[in-house]
Amino acid sequence: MTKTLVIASHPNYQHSLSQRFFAESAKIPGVTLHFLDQLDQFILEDELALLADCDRLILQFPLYWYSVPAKMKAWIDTIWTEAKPLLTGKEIGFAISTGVAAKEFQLGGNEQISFNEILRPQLRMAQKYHMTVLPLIVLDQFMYKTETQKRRFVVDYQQLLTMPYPFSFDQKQQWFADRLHSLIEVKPQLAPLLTQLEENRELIQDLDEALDSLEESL
Amino acid sequence: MIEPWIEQLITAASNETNDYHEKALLQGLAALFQEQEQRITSKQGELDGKLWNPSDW
Repeated sequence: MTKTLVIASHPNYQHSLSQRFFAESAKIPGVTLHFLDQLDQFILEDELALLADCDRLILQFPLYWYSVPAKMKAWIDTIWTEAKPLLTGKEIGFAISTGVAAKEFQLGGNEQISFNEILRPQLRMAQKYHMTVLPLIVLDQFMYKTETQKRRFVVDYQQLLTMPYPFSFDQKQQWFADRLHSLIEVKPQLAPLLTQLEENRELIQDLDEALDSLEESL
Repeated sequence: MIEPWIEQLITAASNETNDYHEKALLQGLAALFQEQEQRITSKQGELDGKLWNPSDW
């Protein structure tokens, strides 16, 4: 199982619903949540020990004036240089929240700047250590989300935390199958869903193989 | 469209639980079944289309 470390920061975390939502969504096996704003200072050895023990690092924060919050920046400045041997070759992902609609962060949007541009320094930090950068996840305007959208976000975020890279459709099927398998231990009435999921998955594989062999014979 | 028995089972399980992660998983599962069925339909169509070769008649 992938061991994921979430480094989270939110200057106003006591009152932030989106921060609580992120934190609650991350309470799953294999995930350690390390919240920076409750620490008065960083003890380098402790921070490095956390990084040494993870396969995947997720930096989770709200955008503050188009950048990371001050506490997150302080953490980066304190540990990133020393963390090089511990992070090289590992995976990194970014989970950000914003009060402005995500659609404004693009060409022609009100913000006139994309998330890719905003996160350029963090991307370079990752590339410097040859890290695999995972797809960005954005929680925008949490207050306006419908219940369906919130639930979809929980699954998307949990997949970012635990699903093997590169998040192919087959890996997605496996991810759901694994979770369903655990759920069936307490709810055996759901077993037919797992059977159907696996049957569909095999049929898709068979069809892919048939199409591939047809392609080769042409 | 997912099969009615799948939808019923998922809806019933979702109504029964108060666990938020479980409700989210079940909703995601319904979306996964839908995506599987779409892929099956489109791949079967692709296979039928490619096998249909009048020059072999």
